[in-house]
Amino acid sequence: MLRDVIKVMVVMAVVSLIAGSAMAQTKHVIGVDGMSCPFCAYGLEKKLKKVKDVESVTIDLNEGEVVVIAKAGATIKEESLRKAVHDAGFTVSSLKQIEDRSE
Amino acid sequence: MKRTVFAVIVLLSMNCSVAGQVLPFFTDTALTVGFESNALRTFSRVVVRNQLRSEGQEVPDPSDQDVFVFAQVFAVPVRINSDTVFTAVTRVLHKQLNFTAPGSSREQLSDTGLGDTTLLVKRRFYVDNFQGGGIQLALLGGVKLPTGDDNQRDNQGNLLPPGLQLGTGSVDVPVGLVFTAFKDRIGFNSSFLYQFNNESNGFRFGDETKVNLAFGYRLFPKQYTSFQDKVLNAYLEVNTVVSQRASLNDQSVPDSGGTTVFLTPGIQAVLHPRFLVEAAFQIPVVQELNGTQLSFSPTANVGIRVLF
Repeated sequence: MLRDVIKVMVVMAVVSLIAGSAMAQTKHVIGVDGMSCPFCAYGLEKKLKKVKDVESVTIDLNEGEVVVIAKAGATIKEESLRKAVHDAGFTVSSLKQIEDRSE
Repeated sequence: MKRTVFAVIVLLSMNCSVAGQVLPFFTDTALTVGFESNALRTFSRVVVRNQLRSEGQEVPDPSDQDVFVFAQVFAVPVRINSDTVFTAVTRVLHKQLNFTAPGSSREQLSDTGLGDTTLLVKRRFYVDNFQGGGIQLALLGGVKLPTGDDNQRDNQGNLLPPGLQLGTGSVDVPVGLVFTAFKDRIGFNSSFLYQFNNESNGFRFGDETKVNLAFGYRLFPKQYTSFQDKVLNAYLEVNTVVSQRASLNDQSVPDSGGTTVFLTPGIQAVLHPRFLVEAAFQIPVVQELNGTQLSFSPTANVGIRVLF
């Protein structure tokens, strides 16, 4: 009886792990104008990381693009991202949302 | 001799004034990002003046005067919002005048301590950003507070001349307009500043106009691989200061004021996205000084900036 309970629990745990890793992780690609230097990028990164449900921020100075990845299963409001860029002193030129499913 | 000494020191004080925070060394920018906000800037400045000039010509100096000024400047810009930055600038000064009085040995007058403090607001009112650059305009306005002592005395109890005091004793008002344009590796900044100077204890420094131009170029990297890259920038500035004559008890001081133009090459190394070191060398290329005054020698400046 105890063995059966343990087996069920192990199966449930494995299923949960698989389900978790299969949850969508949203990626936002933001075109940012007015950014041309590392210290500018530092300030922008700080602002974006404070936005709720942001997991990571990657800045490409050459392309003038910022990639913001949301926490698994979470949704970031686009308005929050636009506001963060504006508050950092820059201008949003484009904003795309891409859903990325993990295997 | 006394009058010459007095006049010499008067102009010295005017030209010890410091422009606000800048990405070029002395020229303000319209930027409200990076080191122009939420940062600490400090730099050391050494000013030496020892050649007497009268009506534009070098003349012998019977008093053999030489002036040495060391200033440690601190500027803290704090961003209020995306378009507004508040900056406090103060300095610790050491001012020293050596001279030979007639029939006397070599004498020295000096003063050390906190100088005046300037509070400035920068308000950006035009922004046209594009990929890798932008064009921006901002207004500057503020107040210079007399936090520096203006009542220092020598060993005999005589009041030191106004130019040798650490502060002016007056509340003065700077205003200005700033333009910035930048794209990828190239930047251009220009600023126009006017300071309304007021009177204290019967003495008033002449109003000052400053016109600055700065051209910047990123030497490397040619292209960023990440925003953690180390960066080396070079700048060339033209700094013009036009000072009106000072007045003492409503009488104009003839040996004061004038126009000085400096050519200022500078270099800046960004060692970390939050830290840079910089140096600039101000070379006086035009000195049209009123009356008889000590002229400027080249001035050395070196400093750091740290982002919070």
